[in-house]
Amino acid sequence: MGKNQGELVQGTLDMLILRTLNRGPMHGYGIAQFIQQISEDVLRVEEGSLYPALHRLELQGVIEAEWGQSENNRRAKFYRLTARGHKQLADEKVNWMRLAGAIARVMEGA
Amino acid sequence: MDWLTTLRLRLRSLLFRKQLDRDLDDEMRFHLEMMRAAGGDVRRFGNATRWKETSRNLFTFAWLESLLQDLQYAVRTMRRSPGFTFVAVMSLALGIGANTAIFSLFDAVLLKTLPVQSPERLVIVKQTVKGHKSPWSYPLYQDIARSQQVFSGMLVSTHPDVGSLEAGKLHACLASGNYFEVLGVNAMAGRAFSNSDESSPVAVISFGFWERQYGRDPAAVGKKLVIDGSPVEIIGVTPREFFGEEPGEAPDIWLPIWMQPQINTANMLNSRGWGWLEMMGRLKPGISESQALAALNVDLNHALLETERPAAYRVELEPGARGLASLRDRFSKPLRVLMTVVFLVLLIACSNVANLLLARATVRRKEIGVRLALGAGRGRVVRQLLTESILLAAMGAILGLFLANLGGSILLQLVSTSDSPVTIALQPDARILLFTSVTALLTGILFGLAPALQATKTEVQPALVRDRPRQRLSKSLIIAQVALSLILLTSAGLLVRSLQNLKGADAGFRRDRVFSVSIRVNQRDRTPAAWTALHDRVYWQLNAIPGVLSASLDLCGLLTECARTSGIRVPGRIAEAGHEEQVRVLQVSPNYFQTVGMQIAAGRGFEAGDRQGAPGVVVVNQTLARYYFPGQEAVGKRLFLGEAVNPVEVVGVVKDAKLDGMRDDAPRLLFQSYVQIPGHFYSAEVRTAPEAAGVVSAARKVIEADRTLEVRGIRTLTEQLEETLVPERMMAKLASFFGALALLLAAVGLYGTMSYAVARRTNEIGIRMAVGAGRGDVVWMVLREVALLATIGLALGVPAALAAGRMLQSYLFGLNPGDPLTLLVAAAVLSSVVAIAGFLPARRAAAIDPMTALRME
Repeated sequence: MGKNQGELVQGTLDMLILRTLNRGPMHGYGIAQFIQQISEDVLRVEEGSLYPALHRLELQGVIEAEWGQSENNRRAKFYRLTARGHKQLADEKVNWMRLAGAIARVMEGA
Repeated sequence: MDWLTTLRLRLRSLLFRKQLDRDLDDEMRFHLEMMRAAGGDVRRFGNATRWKETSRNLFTFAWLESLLQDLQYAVRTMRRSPGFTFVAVMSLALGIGANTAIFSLFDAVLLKTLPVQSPERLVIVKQTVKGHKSPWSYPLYQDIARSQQVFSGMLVSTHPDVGSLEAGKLHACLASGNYFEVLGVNAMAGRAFSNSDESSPVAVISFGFWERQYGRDPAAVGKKLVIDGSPVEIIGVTPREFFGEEPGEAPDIWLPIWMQPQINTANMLNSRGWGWLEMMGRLKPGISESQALAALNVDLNHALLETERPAAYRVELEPGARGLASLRDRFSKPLRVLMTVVFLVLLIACSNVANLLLARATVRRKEIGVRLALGAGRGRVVRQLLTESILLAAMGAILGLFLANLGGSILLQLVSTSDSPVTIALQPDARILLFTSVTALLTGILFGLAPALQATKTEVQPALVRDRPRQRLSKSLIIAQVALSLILLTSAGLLVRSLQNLKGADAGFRRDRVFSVSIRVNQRDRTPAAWTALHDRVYWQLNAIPGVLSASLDLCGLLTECARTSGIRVPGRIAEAGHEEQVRVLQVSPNYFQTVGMQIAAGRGFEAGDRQGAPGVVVVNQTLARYYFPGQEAVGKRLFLGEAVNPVEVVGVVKDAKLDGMRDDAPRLLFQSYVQIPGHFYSAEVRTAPEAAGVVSAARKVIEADRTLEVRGIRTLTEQLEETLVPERMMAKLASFFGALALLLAAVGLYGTMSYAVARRTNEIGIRMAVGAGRGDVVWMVLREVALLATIGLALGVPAALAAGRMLQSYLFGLNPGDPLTLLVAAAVLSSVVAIAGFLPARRAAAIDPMTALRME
């Protein structure tokens, strides 16, 4: 098994986080679980690396955070998209689709 | 990026550091617990500490934190080597302090705008007669102020000294009633005077005087002062930063112009003959300076037509934002030269510190190596080293500000004369602080960068090879210091010798024991007979004072700016068409030449027979004689003055004298006798016997016995000459001071560098001595290096010093910019200081005990 298998392309983690939060407010653990489930465990990250990414997004003002109660009544920090976050997600989705489509066409041609 | 959000979050983190740490902990612990609960592999979380650190850095001002770290580290490093820190900080303090001090003066005199409302709309309005500046009379000001359309207001002012019963001598500003209104300045206590106070005896005092005399008591407003015998009421105090309309004057008290008759014996407000005022105007919105100029010339011509005066009068405008200009005119070039000088001193100080840093980098090599080895980036270490050097510069700057403050009053003394003290507030204000901070920052980078880059160069090379570029840089710095010092020493030498030459040169008249009395005649419409009577009385009484060898009245005095010219026609000489030739004419009492010590070169001086009605006679100077009668005997020649139909005869030729100052060539000058041509006089020259006492007060009494005469000042001709030399004196003194400073800095730098070099080579020297080198050989080995560096420095410095000399040309007198003696002396002084600074480390090298040195390794 190659070492790099499933590692994230730089910058895509941000996009995945935004996509996840598009469903509603969620804490870090939940975000990690969701990404793994949806990607069927193909995308693997060290789960801790989620946090610097979350905090950077928070500083950029695309997501905001609030402390609340988790489903098992623990104190947890919940993140949700801001208006700017929604817009950024939409932009990135368009870009990604275009890029992915282009790469797919190139690879199929090979 | 939404920087507001970023800033808000970061500030919150900065304020609630512990909260941030706790939140990060909680967030990650929650995640890990959830993973464990779900039976997951917690290793998949990664290194929690690292994630926390990364996030923490996101939320805080990372650069601020590392800066604080760097500073703490820098302070520790400095405390470890106090000797180095002391020398470095002192060098920088002297360099930065010198720059701050000179810049404060430069700023106040040349750059700063007046502390008034929109100063950029102010213009100085000058009246000129054939290119010479002529002050305004009050009636003429009133005429123009009434008719002009281009200014929203025009003011006139002058700065007399007045006497106050309560506070002694005060420096006053006598100004038109609208003065404060035109400048747009309000009183900070009470109110300013205005035209609505017309003819009431009021005064406004300065903040400084308020503080000095009344201890800032608000009750000072409303108090009475007796100024030159007349009571005035204080109605207001000006703001602290307001110093009037002329930099350097700083009046204690402002009096409205209608008070003039009370403080002078004669009323000058109605006289058109007396020009005594400076004028400024505030341009109306939308009016340009050139529009104003054209309009004002028309107004001036109109005003003069009424009085039938010649139309040789013009208006000239100058930007007035920085106030009236006498100080600026005088000192702008000297101050530029001095700014250059202190900049060079700062460069020397910088290379000094750079050299010390380089030398220390050798000592710190291990420490820096360890940091690099532990994974610090080169940029990071360079930043650390730069932080250290900027900290040094900052400490230097603080000490420098302190030194500059001490030096400020000395500077003011250097630009002042006993007659017109210059008063400028040189306290560091925001501009000065900004200048000093920027200087310090740039200085820190300048001297810190090269050594920092050197110190962090790749570590793979063997130590010996690595040392070479460092030494090369260090040697170049020493060479540069020697060269810069040579420039400064040579310049200082040139200026000092010029000043000596100026003082010692033959002016063509005698300066010792001759007093010059400046006289104001307050009634000028006299008949010739009345002038003769006045002249004769004063003349004979002055000559009768015990201790007076001879005394004489004259039109202008010596070394003043006063001059009268007259057209001249010389028979047989054809003047250019439409161009009348002019000569200077000086009316004098008969014994004038004897009094001021001008020597008769041919013919005779004035005699008793040269009286009214007798044939007209003149005495001319050599320049005039040579010009009109080249190769001929001038005595006996005839010439016509002005419109006269009768010729006058040249009866004598006197040797040329430098009436206008030592630098000016003698003008074409012609003397007439008061006995033959009566008229007014402005000056009396009095030659006294040695040890004569009481002459000054006796002369004053004789002159002021006449109610229409007023003594404006009595000074010896020596004093008068010195006052014309104030800029030269300032430059010579400061250049010498800074030259000496440069020498000291260079010596310290060389000493420090050579000491380190010797310390580094202890081992090598030990080996040399062990294999038979004598102490003399070791001394010579070190000195040879010093001599080589000094020689290269001198070789580079000579052309630079010559160039600097040429730039100083206009300040030099009686010697060439490339004066070899000056250059030689400067080089000799520099060499001996360098030799001493090099000999001390050399002797230490020779004292090395070979055994100890070898065991050290």
